[in-house]
Amino acid sequence: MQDETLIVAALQQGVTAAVEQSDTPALPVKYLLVTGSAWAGVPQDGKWIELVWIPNNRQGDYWGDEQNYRGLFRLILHWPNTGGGVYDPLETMASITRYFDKGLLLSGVQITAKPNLSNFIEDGDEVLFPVSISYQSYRKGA
Amino acid sequence: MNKLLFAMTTGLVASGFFNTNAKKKLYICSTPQPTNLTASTYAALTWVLIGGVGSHGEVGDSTNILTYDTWDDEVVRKAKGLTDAGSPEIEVARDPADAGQVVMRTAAGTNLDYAFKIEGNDKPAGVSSTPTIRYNRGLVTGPRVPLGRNEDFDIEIFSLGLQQKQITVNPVAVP
Repeated sequence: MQDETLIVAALQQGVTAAVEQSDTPALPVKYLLVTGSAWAGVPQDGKWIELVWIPNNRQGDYWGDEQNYRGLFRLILHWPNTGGGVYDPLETMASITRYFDKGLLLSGVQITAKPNLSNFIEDGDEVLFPVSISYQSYRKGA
Repeated sequence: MNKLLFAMTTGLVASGFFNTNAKKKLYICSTPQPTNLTASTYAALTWVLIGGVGSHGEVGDSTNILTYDTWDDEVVRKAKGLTDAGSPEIEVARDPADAGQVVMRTAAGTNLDYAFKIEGNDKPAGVSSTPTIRYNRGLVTGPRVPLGRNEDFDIEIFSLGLQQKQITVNPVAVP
């Protein structure tokens, strides 16, 4: 599982860097499985980023232990559903995801496509804006 | 079918009878080998594992069948001609730092013969046991880089020109 650990770490560190260079560097990010005291909770303004990891690895490409890892790393922007329109959350998300240029290398993990917004989801008091980051990583294995 | 099932249940068909290529290993010796070698001299070489092997072309001996037809015979006469040891293509996922791929690229830049070893995945139980091993030696050309579409892998393809009859060493079980 060492390879998966390195891949997730690279992607999460990428998200940290992406938010820091965005127009909203203080936007809270809920990293994978971080809960309890380590997670400050949903902020007062209802604006935060949730991460979802969807691995979809290839199997059997090589004779040896090498493997092509790939999948989606999804950033979901939570935004208050207060009728303020769609422009602000879209611009916020765009300023974050512009970091993930197609071809960007993050510690051996390569971004393979332009970040893809898959519409928005109204969910009661909030609206979710999911953006998928496609990645791949070739690892030599044992 | 019933005979096969009977054979399997009575242990006459060895388990692992049908293997895939997964976990096979391809090695190259970084020192050129200009003359034919025996199994023991091949075994004594220093080998470098080639990483990222995705596919290896056909190996083995292919002998020309020569034909001659005569006025007085309705059946074509045949004889064996020369044997070609093969020109397989080796496809690897390009890894600039992989030691074996580095040797392959170096070998491809020369006009010399290099030794190859294919180690099978059928090693019997026992630390000192050995799997099926195939040896040969030959020229290395390439690599060709097919590139391709957006989601195609960055691969390199080497072509070998093998020069001697293949040597196959069967697995040896050392309990």
